[in-house]
Amino acid sequence: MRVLDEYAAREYLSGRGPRVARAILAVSAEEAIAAAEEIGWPVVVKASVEGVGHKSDFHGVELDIRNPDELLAAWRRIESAAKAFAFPLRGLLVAERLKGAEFIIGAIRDDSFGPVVMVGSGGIMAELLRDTAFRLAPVTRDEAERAILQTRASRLLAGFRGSPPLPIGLLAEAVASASRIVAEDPNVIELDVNPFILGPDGGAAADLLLRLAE
Amino acid sequence: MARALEEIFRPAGCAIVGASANPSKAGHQIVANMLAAGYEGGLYPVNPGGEAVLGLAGISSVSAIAGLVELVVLASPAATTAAVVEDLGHRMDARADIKGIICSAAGYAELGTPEGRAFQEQLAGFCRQRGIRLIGPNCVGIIDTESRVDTTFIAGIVHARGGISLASQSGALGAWLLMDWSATPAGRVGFHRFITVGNMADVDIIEGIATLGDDSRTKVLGLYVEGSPEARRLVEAVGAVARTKPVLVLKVGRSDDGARAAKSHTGSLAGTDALYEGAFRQFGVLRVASPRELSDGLRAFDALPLPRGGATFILTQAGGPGIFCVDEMSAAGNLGFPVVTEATKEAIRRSAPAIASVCEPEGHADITAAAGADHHVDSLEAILRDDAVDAVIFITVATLFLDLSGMAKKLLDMLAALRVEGIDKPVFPVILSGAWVLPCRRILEEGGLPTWDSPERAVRALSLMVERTHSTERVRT
Repeated sequence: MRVLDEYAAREYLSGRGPRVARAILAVSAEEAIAAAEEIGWPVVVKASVEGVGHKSDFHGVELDIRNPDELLAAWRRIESAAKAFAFPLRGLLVAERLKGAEFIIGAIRDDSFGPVVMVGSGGIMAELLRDTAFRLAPVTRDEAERAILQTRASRLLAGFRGSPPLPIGLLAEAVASASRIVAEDPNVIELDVNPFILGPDGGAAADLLLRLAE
Repeated sequence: MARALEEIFRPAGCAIVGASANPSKAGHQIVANMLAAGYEGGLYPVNPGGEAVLGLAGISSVSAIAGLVELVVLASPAATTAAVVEDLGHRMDARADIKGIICSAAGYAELGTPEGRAFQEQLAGFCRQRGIRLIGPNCVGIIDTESRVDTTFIAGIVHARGGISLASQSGALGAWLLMDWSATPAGRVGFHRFITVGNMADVDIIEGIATLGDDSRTKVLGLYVEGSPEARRLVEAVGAVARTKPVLVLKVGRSDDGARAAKSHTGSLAGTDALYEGAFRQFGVLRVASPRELSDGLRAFDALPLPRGGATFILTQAGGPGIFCVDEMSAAGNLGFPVVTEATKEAIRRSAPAIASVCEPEGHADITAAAGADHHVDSLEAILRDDAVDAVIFITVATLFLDLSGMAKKLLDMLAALRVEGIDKPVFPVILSGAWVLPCRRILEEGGLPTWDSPERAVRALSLMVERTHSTERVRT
């Protein structure tokens, strides 16, 4: 079994599955700044370490980097954290800063249910909230919508406490495409997208993890 | 190709191996239940001494039975398996008429001992070799009220015909419902088939579900499910049935979610119960939370027309129970209140006592404790005639001056007359309460209308029906 981190997972999927936030792998501070200029400030920077799933567990993510100085400081912090944990740093993933509500999308090959897909409240609280709905994969966009509406998180879509309404169709399409990955690619054991950030004008995966049979 | 399980439900000739004259033995109760069900085929008690059971002549072996034997029920100890298989082997060599075996006896693979597993394999191997279907071992058996078969040893079952069928992974849970139905106001609830599968050495719960699903006399299917290593096949089988008829499932094991350790978010959230829940919703399978809700839902689906939607009028004769019902309806999530026409409101006012509160708020009328039988029935009729109304919950608390039995009869007559006009909507009479109202409830239930002893039971059953309405609309579009 093989676990692919965000960078490797992007490469493996090469455009299949939910839309992923725009990102560039930088192997030096100079490259990182150039990448941020290209993507547009502010950016998110993330440690890219092969085989490490949850980057926030070792201070591998900085969410709101607004200028070159902040980027250099973040680079140094992440580098020393990786060193402390003895993780071989591949580089820094410089990514588009998404704004919106956080959802989780997961697709997994279960021993007795086969391929299934999940959607619900995302972010670091996902496991605490346990606000998710499952379906057997693959699902249509309509079935994905019904799954979404089964969660409490769906209240965010209608515009919660003054926030703008969010396009449920985009989220449903992402869920359906994640369900197709696990249903159609027998090598995929699990695709974990958390968070999928949905704003009024668009949505994309801000992080992903892929588990392969080989 | 294995013989269809369907055939086992209507056997010509049945031998009960281990039949006993001792009323404390399962082998006695099975013969008693076959007789109580009114089985009309040849019924043969088999025991080593050839002793008679309940007036039926006994015989010492299955191979010695002169008549046709399509079904064999095994109630003899597991240790006799070798002798039983030998006897049945002779029978098959000579007559080859056995289609199915139901092994009620315990002491097989469920023990987890090498001996138990060996007994089961011996029996199952014999069945495979001879093309015989095996239900069990360690199961309660089957009932079919149409072919008048009852191979169970459950006491106190009333074999009334109806459109409900039940498949259960637990014999005792199935028995619970069937026994409970004898304690309803009419003393019976009609059903068609019942199957428990025990150790599933051959016939498994999935085949049981599919067979009852294909059965044209089964109008609604109830399931008690503990789980299966082949969960996907199970939920897909249930889902296939739900495409043609309502399926209500009591799935237990909500708490074994913690069993999966996983490092990923999805993995840690993918508890078995969450997966069952999602698949049931995907397929429009109705999940219930308790045996009581399962029973209530099955009865409602069998007896009542499916509501067109969730617009539910509460017609109550008492304030508190009506308000409680409003709360329960709002918790159900898929029920709302209809806005009836001014003409309907006027008709309710004309039908009810002068102090009645009509449609304040909308979809709710309190005809007060001053209401007599006619007030109840006439206002109900006015409500049912309104196009905005999909269903009615009818609540009454017995007063000494209310002619409950007269009301029950008038209510049934009124509903029958409306049906002739093409108005057929589900009505849920909540008749409060206790022993005093049982005669009234008996009249209604004997007239085919289930009654309820508390508003939330009616609300939950109605809510399941509305869920079904919505999911069938989804399939159609």
